[in-house]
Amino acid sequence: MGMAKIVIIGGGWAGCAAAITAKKAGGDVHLFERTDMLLGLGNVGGIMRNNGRYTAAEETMLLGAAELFEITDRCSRHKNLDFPGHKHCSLYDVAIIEAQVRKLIKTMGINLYLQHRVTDVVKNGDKITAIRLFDNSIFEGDIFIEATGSTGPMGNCRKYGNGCAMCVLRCPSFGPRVSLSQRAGIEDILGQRANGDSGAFSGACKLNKDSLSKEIVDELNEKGVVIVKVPDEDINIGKLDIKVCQQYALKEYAENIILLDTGHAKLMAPFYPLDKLRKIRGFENAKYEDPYSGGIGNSIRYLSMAPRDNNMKVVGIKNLFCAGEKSGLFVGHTEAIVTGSLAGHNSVRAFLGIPFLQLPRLTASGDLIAYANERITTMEGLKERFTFAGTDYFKRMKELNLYTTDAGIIKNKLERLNLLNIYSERLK
Amino acid sequence: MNSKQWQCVDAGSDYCPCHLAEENSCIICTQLQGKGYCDCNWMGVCIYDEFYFAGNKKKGVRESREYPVVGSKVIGKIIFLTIKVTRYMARVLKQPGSYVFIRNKHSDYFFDVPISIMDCDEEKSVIKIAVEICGVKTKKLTDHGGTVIVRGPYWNGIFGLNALKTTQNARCLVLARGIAQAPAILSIKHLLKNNNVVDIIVNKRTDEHNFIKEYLGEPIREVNMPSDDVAILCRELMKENNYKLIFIGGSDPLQNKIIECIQETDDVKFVTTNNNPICCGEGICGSCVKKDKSGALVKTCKAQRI
Repeated sequence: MGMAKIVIIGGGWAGCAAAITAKKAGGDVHLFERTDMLLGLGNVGGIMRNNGRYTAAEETMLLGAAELFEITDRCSRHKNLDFPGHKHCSLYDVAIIEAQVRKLIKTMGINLYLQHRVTDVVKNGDKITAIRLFDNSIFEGDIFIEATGSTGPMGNCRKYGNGCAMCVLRCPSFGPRVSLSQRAGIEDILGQRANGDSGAFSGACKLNKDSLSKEIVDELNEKGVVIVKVPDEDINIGKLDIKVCQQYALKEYAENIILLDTGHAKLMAPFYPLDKLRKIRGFENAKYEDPYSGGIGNSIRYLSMAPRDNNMKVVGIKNLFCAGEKSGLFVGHTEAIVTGSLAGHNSVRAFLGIPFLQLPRLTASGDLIAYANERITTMEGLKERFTFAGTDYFKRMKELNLYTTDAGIIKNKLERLNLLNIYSERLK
Repeated sequence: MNSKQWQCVDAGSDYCPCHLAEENSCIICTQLQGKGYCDCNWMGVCIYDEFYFAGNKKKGVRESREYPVVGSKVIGKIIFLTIKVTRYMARVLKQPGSYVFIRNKHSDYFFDVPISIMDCDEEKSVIKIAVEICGVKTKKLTDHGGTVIVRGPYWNGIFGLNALKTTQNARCLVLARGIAQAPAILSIKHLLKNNNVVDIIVNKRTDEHNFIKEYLGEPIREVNMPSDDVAILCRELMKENNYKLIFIGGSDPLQNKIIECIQETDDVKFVTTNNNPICCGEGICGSCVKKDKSGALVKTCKAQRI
C-alpha cells in the first residue's frame, strides 16, 4: 500500500495540527488555505493555557503532538497570568506566531497551498475522490480533513451580526468560506446564542497599542493585563449573551474593560463603540486593529458544523474528517489543536484500514470531544460552548478530576492508557 | 454538487441585487434564496450585504427609453441601426455578450426584442445593432420613424464570457453564421485587444451578407456551415493551430456539431452565443429557462457557467 494522500482544507490551528499529526503518522500531506496566511483567527487570538487548557495542552504534548504548543509557549509575551475567572494563562504574540508556524509546516515537508480556495468536492458514492479549487481545477486525495471553521462569510456576518467588520479572515479579498461537508451532501448544524438566534459574535477585538495612553501601554507590557472600569451609564450586560466565548461572559467583563497583551491590546468584548471607548481615560485616541470595524461589530461564528463521531470522522462520508470549529461548538486555539491532532492521526488510520484512535474519556481531550458531541444533539446544547477554559465544561473537568496542572499526573495516566506519544508513531 | 457551476452575469453590477433577490430567488446568494446560511461562491462584494444597504430592496432597474436612430440601412433581410444613447449606456454595452431590448415606439412593451450589440463607440455614445427581420417584433422595427425604445444594458448574450475575457496571447478560432456575426464582432475585438491571433470563418452562401468583413481587416474564410464540412474543417484547423478558444456564433445544432467533433479539453475553451428565447431578461418570465446536466433549471438570460 502506498502513502496515504491526506488533503486538509483550512490552514487555521486545527488544519495545521491535523497536518502535523497526519505527517507524523506517515501521510503525504497537502494543506490548502484560502488566504495568504496560516492560523486564520489564530492571528488575532493569543490566549493559551488558561484554566483547563493547561491540562489539555500538556496532554496533547504528551500524546506526541507537542510542536504547536512549543511554538505558542516560545512566542508567549506573558506566562502564568491571572485575570478575572482565569488562572495561569499564557498570551502568545500574534505579531510573530504565524511565521513560526509556517516555518514548521514547511520544515516538516507538508505541502502548503496558500491562496488556494477550495470550492467544491467530487464524490463517488459516499466517498470524496477530489476537491475542486477556485480555478475549477481538481485535486485528488485518499482522505480529506475539513478544518474550514464556521466563521463568515459576509452574508452570515450581515444576517446574524452587524455586517462585515473587516476581520482577519478577509472574505472580500480572498473569497467566501465554503462548507465542504455541505457540498458533499451532509447538512450543516447551526449553533445558537441564548435568545435562540443563529451564530455568535467572536468574543474579542484588538486595539492598536500605540493609540492608547502610555500608562496603559506600560502596565500592559509589564503585567499582561489591564482592567479599567466602564462608566456606569455604558455598562451593557446584554452584550455578554451574544458572545462566542462564554468563558469570558462574566459580570466583570461587562463592568470593566479588560485588556490583555497579545502584541495588540486585546479587548475582551465582541465590539465596543469607538465614541464610548474614547470617553474613557487613556483611550482618548483608541483605534481598532482587528476587526477594523470593532466599534460596530465582529465576525459571526458557529454557522457551519458537521455531524461527526468521536474519531472526528464526518457522519455519512466514508473518508472525510473534520476538526476545530467545524467539528463542534468549540472555542479556542487549544481546542482546535486537540481536535485537529486527532483528526490528522485518524486520517492515516482510515487509509490503512486499521482501527481508529478514540481518546478515552479519562483524558480531558477525549471527554471534551465526546461530551460536545452528546450535547450538540440537543436544542440546549446548541446554545452551549465547549472549552477547557471555562463555562460548564471547566466545572465538569474539575468534577471529573480531569483538571490538573501537574504534567507528571497526566504522563502517568497516558502511560497507563498506553497512549504516551501515540501521535509520534509512524503507522503501518 | 453542480449548483455552483452557474453564476449570475449581473452580480456586482449596478443592477444587483435585482427582482430575484426580492423574491428569495437570487441565482448566487443562499441567504437571498431563503436559506439561513451562506453557501455561495461569489468573489465580489457580498450580495446580501448590498441588499441590506439598499434597504432590503433591489438596487437599480433598467429603464426603457427613447433614443434617436442616427444611422439606418437595410441589406437583404437585415436592418442595421446606429442608435445614439447615453455615454453610460455606450460604456457598459461595449463588452462582449452585451444586448439590449428594442422596440418601435408605437408598439407595446411586449414587442421588446433582444438584440446583440454589434459595435459600440463610447466616444460618440452610439451603439450599432443588426436585426434580422423575421417575426412580428422585428418587422415593426423597419418603420422606426427616427427613434426607437431601448431597454438595457444586458450582458448574457454569450456563454463562456470568463474564458473570452481571460484568454491572452493565444490563437483563437471564430465561427459566425448569419446574424450571429453581430455578437462575434465585439468578441473578436476583445480577443484582438488581448493580443490573440484570430482566425475567422463565416458561412458561404450567395444570398447571405457577411457584414463581419466591413468591421475587421482580418482574413476571413468561407465554408458551407449547414453541411458537415464545417466540423471537418474545424478539426483539421484545430490540429494545425492548437486553438485555445473557439467562438461559435450560430444555432445550437451548429454549436453541438462542432463541439462534438472537437471535444472540449482543458486546453480549448468554447464560447457560444446564447440562442435561447429571451423575453424579459430579468430572470422572471421563464422563457429562457433550460435544464443543465444535473437537471437544475437555469435562467439563461442571466446565468453564466463557470
